[in-house]
Amino acid sequence: MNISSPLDDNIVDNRQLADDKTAPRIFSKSVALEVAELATKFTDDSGYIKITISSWWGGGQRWSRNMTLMSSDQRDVTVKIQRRKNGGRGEAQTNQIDQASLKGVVGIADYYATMGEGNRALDRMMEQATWTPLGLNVWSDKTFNANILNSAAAIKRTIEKAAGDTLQSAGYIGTTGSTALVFIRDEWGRVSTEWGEVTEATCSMTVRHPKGLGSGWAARTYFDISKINIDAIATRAYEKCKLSLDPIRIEPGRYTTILEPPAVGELFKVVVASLRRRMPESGRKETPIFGGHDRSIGRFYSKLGWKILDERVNLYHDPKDPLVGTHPSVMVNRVDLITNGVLTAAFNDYTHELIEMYELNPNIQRSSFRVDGTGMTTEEIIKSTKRGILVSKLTQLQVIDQTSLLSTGLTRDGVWLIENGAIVKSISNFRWVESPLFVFNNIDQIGIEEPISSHSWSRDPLEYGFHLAQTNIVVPTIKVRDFNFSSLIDAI
Amino acid sequence: MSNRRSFIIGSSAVSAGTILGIANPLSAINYGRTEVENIRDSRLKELIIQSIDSAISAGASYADARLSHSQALFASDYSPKRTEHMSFGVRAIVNGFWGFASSPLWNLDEAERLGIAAVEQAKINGAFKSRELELASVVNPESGDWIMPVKDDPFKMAYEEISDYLNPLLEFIMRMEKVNHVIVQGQFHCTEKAFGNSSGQFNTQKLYNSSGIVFMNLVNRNGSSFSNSLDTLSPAGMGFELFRDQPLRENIQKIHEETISILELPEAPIDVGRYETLINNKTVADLISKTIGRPTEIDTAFGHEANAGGTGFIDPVTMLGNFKIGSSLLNITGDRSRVGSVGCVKWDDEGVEPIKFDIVKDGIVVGMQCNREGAGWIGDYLKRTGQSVRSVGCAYAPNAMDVPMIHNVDLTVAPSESNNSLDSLRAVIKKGIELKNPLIGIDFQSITGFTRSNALEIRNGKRVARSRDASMLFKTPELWNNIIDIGGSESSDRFGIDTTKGEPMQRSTASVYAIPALFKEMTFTGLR
Repeated sequence: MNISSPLDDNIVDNRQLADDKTAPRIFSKSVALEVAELATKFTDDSGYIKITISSWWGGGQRWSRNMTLMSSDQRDVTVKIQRRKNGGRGEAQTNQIDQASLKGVVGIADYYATMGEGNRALDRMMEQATWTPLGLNVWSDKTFNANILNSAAAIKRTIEKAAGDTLQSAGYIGTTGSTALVFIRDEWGRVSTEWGEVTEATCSMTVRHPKGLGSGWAARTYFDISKINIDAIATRAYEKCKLSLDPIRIEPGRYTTILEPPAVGELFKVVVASLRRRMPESGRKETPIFGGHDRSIGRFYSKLGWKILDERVNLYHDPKDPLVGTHPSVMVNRVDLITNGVLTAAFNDYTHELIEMYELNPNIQRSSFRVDGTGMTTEEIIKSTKRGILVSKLTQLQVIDQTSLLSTGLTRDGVWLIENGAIVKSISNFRWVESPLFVFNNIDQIGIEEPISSHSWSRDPLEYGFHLAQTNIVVPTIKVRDFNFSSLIDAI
Repeated sequence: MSNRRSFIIGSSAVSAGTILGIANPLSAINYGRTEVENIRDSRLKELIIQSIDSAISAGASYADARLSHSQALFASDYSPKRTEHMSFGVRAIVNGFWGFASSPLWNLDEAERLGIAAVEQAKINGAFKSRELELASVVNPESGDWIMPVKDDPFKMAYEEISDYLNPLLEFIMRMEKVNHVIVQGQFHCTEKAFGNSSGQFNTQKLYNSSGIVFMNLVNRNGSSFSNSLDTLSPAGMGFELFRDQPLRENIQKIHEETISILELPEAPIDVGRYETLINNKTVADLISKTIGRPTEIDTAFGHEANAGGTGFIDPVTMLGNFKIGSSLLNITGDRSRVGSVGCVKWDDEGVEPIKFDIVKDGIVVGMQCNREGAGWIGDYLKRTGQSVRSVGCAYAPNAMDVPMIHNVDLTVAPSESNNSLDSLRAVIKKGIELKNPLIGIDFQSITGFTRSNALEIRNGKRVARSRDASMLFKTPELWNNIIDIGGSESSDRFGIDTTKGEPMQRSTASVYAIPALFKEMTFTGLR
């Protein structure tokens, strides 16, 4: 059962993750490189290999109904091997860092590469592709070494404030630190490596009336926990709850609407997800950026260069933006998607490059982004509004029609009627039916941008790795004309 | 609580720094870590006990520990993928507060560290007054081992055997009339779990979960399209026999024929109004999961998901035993012990052997999905109705890396004693709508919802048109109280339904056995 090996002396084990006091909770670059080098010993020199070594630590505190539910400390590591040989593709992944596991995971990816069909022509295109290392470093020691007792004390203050007013507080404070090494050796023997370090702190909370008569929510995500004011978030959620009590029901219809950043973020997510260049340029009309067909050259084209949103909209993703961030294993450059309302870039991949022969640098689809704001506060926007509706958050969004991006969803955690520059009453939640393309062409005012916490955070180590589904978005409050609320709902 | 340190000292078969691991599934040759044959190896029990001892010694009044070894295989013609994940998680209670710690390491040093770390996490809540946290006792606490019975273990099969079975299906479907897009994939999961707690319980089990995607999109001459997929490959607690033991090509041909017949129907916008509505069993399963499964998870019902997925509309304190959520035809049970279900276990992630329990009986909400902590929250009701205050086996985490939570268990909607089928229920409709796998949206309290797409207009028992933008609007109690008739046992099928929950978010899949159902007077509108 216990098989020893002459390679044991060189073993890199994941006890690096073991001890808070004497060893780091996540891999350093040198350890990750050592693991990568060891893994490459188990491959031959043929084909393409991509080795991604991610390590992750997370601490979290969760509470609800004015009591803490759970405090946790988790850490994990992943070695993912992606192989391409003779056009075939194979992939394998493990979280065990010993020689047997590394050999096994490389071997299985190698073997699967002979089974998957892949794309030979794609490999030829890859020969000309180049990559500039990004060196992602969105790191805060304050986050990684945060004193969790401070969070506990803040949670206690939050709970006491809510309980003192017979309200109920629920929330989550989490900190994570992760590193990733990406090692690539392509079919032509070229080697490149990418190293990234990222921390993240998130705090979100909901204050509710015990009988469900009102609800308020506030949140903040940032790489540096010292810049997150938990008490201010608690106060905001508390005040929103108080303001949302005893809502009245008003007629559904089209209203001038002030969408706070969490609501704006949901709508922009739909826009960003649709910006895939491959679709329109291969003739797929069911995409909002399908431009048309040029008979003279016999090619479909997208709306690149067209004005698709209000000219005040600037939307981009910069992986070095500390508010937006990116998982260190995702190798991407900055991309300006919409500039002054004009579609200036769209996501593409190597497959698309192959088809259209446009350019060689891929522009990988991503979900984190920033939309520039102005200096105007939400309060100032409210003051300038004669009659309208203020929406905290949109949720349960579904796209009804891919071509127009017509979508539906619900409002949540606070909707208010504004009259003569002031909030006059809390109102019941709505179902809405609207296209973000319509909404962001009907902009009245744009406020200060804020980072919003996304609920799409998830980790499924078997399928996705750790937290690649994480979405960090920075968007402003936006006032729009004629937002369509289609019906009332009962949920609060 | 028993202190088992003496046991540990007396059985040090493994040195502290040794890394243990189940026989590496990805390699025939293994060196570098000490292999154990399987999850039942006594040295793994030592790890569990060591972590629990460590937690108890550090001040925990209760502790439990889990090891999980998960494998997954994603079979596709384009890029096959194999993954392995090992994890070790320890949970502890100090002064009524929970703490949790987890990592990928399986060794005694780490076992000790995790026990202490879980206690440290629980003690962080020392800023709060200590509270009573009562765990319902485990009925017949059992130590043992269980392997989910499967015929064909996909992880013992050569990959070629799987790919040679799946890949020809692509060609088979692509040659079919009007097909323009096909996806054929297989997914296979195997998880070995070990669980122990400070009450002395220890058990191990091996679980399987297999599923497949056979999806086809058909386009007719005018560019109109309709998609369909094979429901019979929905996630199940089975091995490769999920594929082998069904007439796969016949089933594919059936859905192709059905899709052709639907595609040939004219597209027509729907008139806003109320219609008699026939809903197929897969959609009923999805609706049950979203509108009754979720709000009867006791932590959701008590508001613990307020900052995540939302709360529920069922107040257990005032509604249990008297709230009429549906017609008397509606009877729903929960049961994670049903073999073949994707959520089937011998013990849940708190060591509780699941039981079959009523959730809705004759249309009345009579039960909630509970874990050991949550059972006490409705203790008065359970005692009043002559039931024991116990967990029904709902604790689940995707693996030992994550904290166990209450997730939807496998649900069964009881069929009628009739021979009703989807076709016979359709035959009695003079003017109505049939919903076939529409998308469903539901609010964050599971009260109001809607469906969209995939609506078929019925006239005199026949499908006569299809509508892409028809949307059924409903409130949960109204929906289930509007049931006129339901299918018989022959029309019942099993569907794997995904749900998400918690912060950080966890995903789970549970089976729902459902029948088609006929509803009166459902409201329809056009979403566009």
